[in-house]
Amino acid sequence: MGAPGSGKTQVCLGIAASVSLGLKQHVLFLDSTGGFTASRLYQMLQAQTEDEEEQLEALQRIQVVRVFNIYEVLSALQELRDRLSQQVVSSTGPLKMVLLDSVSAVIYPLLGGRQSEGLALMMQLSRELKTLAREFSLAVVVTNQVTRDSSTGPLKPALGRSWSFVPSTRVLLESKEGS
Amino acid sequence: PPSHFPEEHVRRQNGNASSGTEPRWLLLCLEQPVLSLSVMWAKLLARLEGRSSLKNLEPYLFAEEGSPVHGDVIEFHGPEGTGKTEMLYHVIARCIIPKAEGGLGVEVMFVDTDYHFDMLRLVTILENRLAQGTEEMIKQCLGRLFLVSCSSSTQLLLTLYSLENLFCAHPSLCVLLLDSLSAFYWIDRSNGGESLTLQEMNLKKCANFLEKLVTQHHLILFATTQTLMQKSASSAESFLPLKLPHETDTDYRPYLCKAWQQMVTHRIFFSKQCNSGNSKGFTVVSCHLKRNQIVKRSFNVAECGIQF
Repeated sequence: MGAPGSGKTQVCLGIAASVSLGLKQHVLFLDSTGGFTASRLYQMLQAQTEDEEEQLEALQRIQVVRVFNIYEVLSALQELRDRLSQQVVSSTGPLKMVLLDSVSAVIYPLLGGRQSEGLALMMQLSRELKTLAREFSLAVVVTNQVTRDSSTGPLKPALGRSWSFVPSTRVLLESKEGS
Repeated sequence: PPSHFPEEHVRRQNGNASSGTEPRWLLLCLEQPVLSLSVMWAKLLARLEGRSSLKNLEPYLFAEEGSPVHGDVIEFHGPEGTGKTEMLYHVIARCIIPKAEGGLGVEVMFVDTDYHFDMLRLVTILENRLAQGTEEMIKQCLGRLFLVSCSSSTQLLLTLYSLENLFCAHPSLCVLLLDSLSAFYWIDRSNGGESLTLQEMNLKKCANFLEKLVTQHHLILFATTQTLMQKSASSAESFLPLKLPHETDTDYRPYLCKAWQQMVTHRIFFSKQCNSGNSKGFTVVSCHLKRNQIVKRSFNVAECGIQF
C-alpha cells in the first residue's frame, strides 16, 4: 500500500520480472489502472540479464490482462481457476503468482451507496483470491491506497475495516522527502 | 447407542410369528448390548480423562480459575492485527504438545474460514517450545491437529454436519477452533436481501449446530470474530438490555446473530498497545459473561508464540 507515486506499480513490475526471470515461474498481472508498460518491464529485465533469449523467455512467462471493473477481475480469476483446474500443459505452464494493481481502483466505485452490496463484492473478491492462493499454492500481491483519519494521523490502508482483515502481510511504501 | 435394543427385542418377540431363525437372533441381540456397553464405557473413561486436564490450557486467558471447562464457548473479538489467530496457535500448541513435554496431549480441530492458517508459523512455535524439536516429534504433535477450510457459510454448515462423525470416532478430540465466524458476514448479508432472517439464516444454523456439538461431545469451542463495525457513537442505542461494563470500555458492537451471542460463555477482547518507545504489546480483556467477572492482561508475540 502507498500514496500515489510511492512506487507501487514499479514494485509490482519488479516482482513480476524477478519471479519470471530468477525463479522461472509464470506470472499473471491484472492491471486495473493502465499503469503497466511492457517497455519498463523490458528495461528491468535487461538490467538483470544480458542474454536476449532469457529476456524473451521471461517476457513470455508474464501474462497481462487489463481489467477495468470488478466483474472483469472476477472473470479473469475464474478463467485462471478453470485453466489451473484442468491442468492444461501449454505454453503458459504452471502459474505461481498473481499480481493485482490496484484493488482499490476496482473496489472504490462500489463502496458508498448501497453499502452491503459493494462490501459483499469486495469480500467475494477476497474469497476468490484466497481460495486460489490456497488451492493452487499461488502467491497473491495486491496494491492498495492509503488514507488518514485526520491530517496528522497515521497512514492506514484504504478500503476500510473489512478489507483490513484480508491480507496476511502488509507492506507500506513511502517516497522519501526531498534530500 | 444400543439403549433401545432391549425394548425392540421384546416387542419383536411378542409380535412376530415364530420362525426357525429366532433363537439365533435372540442370542445376537443379547450380545450386542453388552459389547456396545463396554465400548461406551471405554469412551466415557477416555472423555473423563481428557476432561480433567484442560483446566491448565491457559490460565492467563480467563477471568476465573478452573477455566476453561468442557462446554465453554469462548469468543476472541478484536480488530485486525491484534493477535487473535496468534492466540489460536498458542492454544493449538498447548493442546497438541504431549504431556511429557508440558502440553496437554489432546486432539484439536481447526476450522479455517479466513484462509489465514500458516503451517510454517505453527511449526516454528512447536520447534521453539519442544525440548527436542526433532522432525519425528513435530510430526507426532501435528498428528493431533485436524484442519479443514471452508469458503462459504453453506460450506461451513455442511462441514460442521460432517464433522459429527469425526468427534464420535475420536474421543480425545475435545477442542474446536474456528477462525473466524464473521468471515462471511457481508456476503451473507448481501445474499439475504432485505430480510434479516434470511441474512442470518446460515450463521444461525451454524451456531445452533455448534452448540449441539459442544454439548453432545463435551467440547471447548474457541471462535474468533472480527470488529467489522465501529461502535455507535450514541450511547442511547443499546443492543442489550443490560449494559455490561466491558462493552462500554471496548470497541464492541454486536452484529452477529442472537443465537451466537447467547451461546458465548467467555468473551475476550483483543487490542494493540502502542506504548511510546516500548515494544508494541497486546492486551486482552477477558470477560466471564455469566459471573460478570473481568480481567485484563497483556502479552507479547515472540518467536515461540505468545508470552504473557
